[in-house]
Amino acid sequence: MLIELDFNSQKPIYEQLYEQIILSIAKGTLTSGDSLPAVRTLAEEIGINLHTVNKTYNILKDEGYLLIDRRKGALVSKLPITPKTEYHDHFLDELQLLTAKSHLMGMKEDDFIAACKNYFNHYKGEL
Amino acid sequence: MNEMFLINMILLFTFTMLYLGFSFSQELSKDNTFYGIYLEEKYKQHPNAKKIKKAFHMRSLIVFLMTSILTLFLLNITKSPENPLIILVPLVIQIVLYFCVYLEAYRKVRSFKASFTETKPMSSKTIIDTDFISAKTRLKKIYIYLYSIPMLIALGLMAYTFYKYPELPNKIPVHWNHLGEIDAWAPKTYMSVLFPTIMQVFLVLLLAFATLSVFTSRIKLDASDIEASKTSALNYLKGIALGLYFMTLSIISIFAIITLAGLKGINLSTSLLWVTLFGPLFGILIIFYSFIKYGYKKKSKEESPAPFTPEDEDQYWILGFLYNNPNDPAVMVQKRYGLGWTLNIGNTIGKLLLIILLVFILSSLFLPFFLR
Repeated sequence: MLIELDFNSQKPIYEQLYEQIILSIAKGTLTSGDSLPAVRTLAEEIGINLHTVNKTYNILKDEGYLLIDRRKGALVSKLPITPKTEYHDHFLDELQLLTAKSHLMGMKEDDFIAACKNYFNHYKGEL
Repeated sequence: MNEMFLINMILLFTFTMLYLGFSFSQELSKDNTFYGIYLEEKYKQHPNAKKIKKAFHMRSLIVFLMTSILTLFLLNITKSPENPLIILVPLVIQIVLYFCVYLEAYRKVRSFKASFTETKPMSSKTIIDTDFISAKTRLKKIYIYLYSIPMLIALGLMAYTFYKYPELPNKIPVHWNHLGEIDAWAPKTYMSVLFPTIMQVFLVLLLAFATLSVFTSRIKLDASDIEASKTSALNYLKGIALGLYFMTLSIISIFAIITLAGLKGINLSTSLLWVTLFGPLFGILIIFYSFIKYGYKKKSKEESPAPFTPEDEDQYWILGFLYNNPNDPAVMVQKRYGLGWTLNIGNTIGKLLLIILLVFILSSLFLPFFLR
């Protein structure tokens, strides 16, 4: 898996890391049962605080993407993951906001759906 | 007279090595650094940068010539080679002067960098490959096993020395001359007998730590060709670790021979010592070869913006050679000036290691005076 981060971005590093890991799982670069680098190893490799990596891993664990095993470290969960109801609501909120933004920027519904389809095509891997 | 000649040669050799190592440190430094300051390669061709470099080389040559001539002159006038201060003091003075020459270059590069306003901001993007990380972690595990061998030898020597202690005579040999004959004795105490073996254990620990740190150190991968740069980076790390391991094995075997000779109170076989002296040299050659090979491969590539790592920021470097970044969990990072790695003193482990290292160096410098 390749992780790309931008230290000058408005987006905090932990969020960038979070997004990169989710995208990698969706694209199939990371599959169920794959282990992620240990918190310390990854933090040393990037040169950021341990807490930053820990934060990302904890959010991913809470949302169900990762399992934290005492011995093996962070593992990708069994796919598809079973979302908790509160995250489902949160997800709909995000989608609502995104569609609202697209609407306000004058994006056509069909274009929006087409873009969504295009992305989904990238995630065709067997779950 | 023969001994006098030997000391002159050793001194000249040490000074020359020190001079070469110091004055070519910039050539061995990593990309985009210039006398401890982050400076992109293209700016190094600027006339001002070239001027700074020229002045630096001139000054270090003057320091080398002046101190060498003065020391050799004093040594041959006083004719007291048995006094270790005769070598130690000029060496310290020389190092201090070299340091001043470096600081001058550092200061000039800093104001040179501040003088141009239209610099484009350096890349803030980084790319991390998790396969590369796991490959490094695997190698690290292998070396943990490999280092158990010299560690067991060092611990074994310590245990054997302790076991043999009651049988030892009241006077034990502590020094051998260049012919392997005993030329200094010390009264038997737990301190004088066991201390060297404890130092050996520490030395193995230190070298093991250095080797393992090689595998956790950050290496910038080339974003345009990840696979190729991954392979060459791994080969580079393997070479350095192998060189360090070889060095450890040969150093520990030298110590083992000396310790056993000390316990038996016998002269050293010189031929055996020659073999073990070439061991560390061979290790250094492996390290140097992998470094040159890696540097050459990198240079031959097309220029693409190197990924960002926190040690690229000038703000974390004190005088361009001390790395102090509390937010960086890495204990060792690549040096800015010269070849190799340096400690992160913003890190608790880094601070601790610096103190241990200083104690180690100072004690090995001054302990011989106390044990006399």
